[in-house]
Amino acid sequence: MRLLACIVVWLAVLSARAQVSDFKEVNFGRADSVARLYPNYPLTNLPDLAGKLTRPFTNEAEKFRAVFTWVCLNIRNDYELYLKNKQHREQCKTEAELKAWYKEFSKTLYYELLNNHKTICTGYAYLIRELALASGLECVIVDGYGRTPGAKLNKNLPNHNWNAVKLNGKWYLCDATWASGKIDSESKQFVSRFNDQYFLTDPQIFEKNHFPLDKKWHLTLTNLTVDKVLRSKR
Amino acid sequence: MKTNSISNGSVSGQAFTFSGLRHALTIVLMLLGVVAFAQTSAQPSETSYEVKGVVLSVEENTALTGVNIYLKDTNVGTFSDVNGKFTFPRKLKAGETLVFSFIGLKKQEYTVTANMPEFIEIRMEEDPLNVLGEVWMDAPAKSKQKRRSLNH
Repeated sequence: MRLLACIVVWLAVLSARAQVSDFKEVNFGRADSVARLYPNYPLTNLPDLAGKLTRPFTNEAEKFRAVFTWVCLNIRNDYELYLKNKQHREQCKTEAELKAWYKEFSKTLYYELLNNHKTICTGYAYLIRELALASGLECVIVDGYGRTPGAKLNKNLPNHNWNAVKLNGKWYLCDATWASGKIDSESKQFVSRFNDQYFLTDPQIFEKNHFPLDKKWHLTLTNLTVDKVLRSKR
Repeated sequence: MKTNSISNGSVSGQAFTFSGLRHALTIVLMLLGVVAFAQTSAQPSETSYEVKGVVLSVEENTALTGVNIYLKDTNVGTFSDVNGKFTFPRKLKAGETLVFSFIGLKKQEYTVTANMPEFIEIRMEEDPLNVLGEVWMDAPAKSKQKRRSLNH
């Protein structure tokens, strides 16, 4: 009986670890090539862009890869926007103040994304979600904490957004912000470098530096809690 | 059937009755077809409507320009103009759905009905996000130096 339980748990863990290795037979080079056909394509018509990126494919993983790669190659992470938002958020004393700030800053965020193709993680996650939905894929924005070499995690102030996407009936995780490049610590300029280790990452690896507010987006049988994460050393 | 009747007489009799049945069946089917055809042509042809309107912002009650308007599950579409106005490029039948979407606004759908107004008003709402943001930046070199100097 105990053996049976062990096997069931083991199978559950295996099936929960949905990741890019599920798509070993898929060559993502084709999707990346399609993504490269539309550099700086305007964001004024997302359904049109989504169609251009995904219509060549029937496989959901390839459709999503084309969207992911396009976003990573064409959207720049903006340090000034990040700093402005960070400073304002830290000054907000109540939940209502924070909500009001989000409402105001969302306008700036959309304006910059639309007109200058630059944003911070929320914009990346938003764009991934909208393009995925327009391509017929289920996709959500995940709120949580992201741990980087430079970030101090602050309780009650989640600092990062990423996405969960459903492909062939199974949920997967990805982080377009960190896959697109990083900020140079000297010049504070964005350095674009596509890095697909944040694409459909093994959830057990992903949770080393991504802690969702809603536990279900770990996609693992973790017993990590936000409190534990905040207390633990880097 | 012919091969049957040539090869064996007794079978040919059977084949005859069978082919007679087949004829009867064909006639019945043809009649059915005529009845079905008569029914479809008797119905009034489905009317299609020209869809015109304006897209406005819920918050500011101003015209929204450049909103993507497309027929659901197709790539037939148009934009709202500088005054927020649009005329859909294809006439639509009752039951067909238009999708209104634009970056930063909540998506809206509008289903065409026989008694819809000649000029429709679509009000779109902003889509505020919880704006979070963490950049990937390696720890600044400075602090490393400090730590090193403290160790000395």
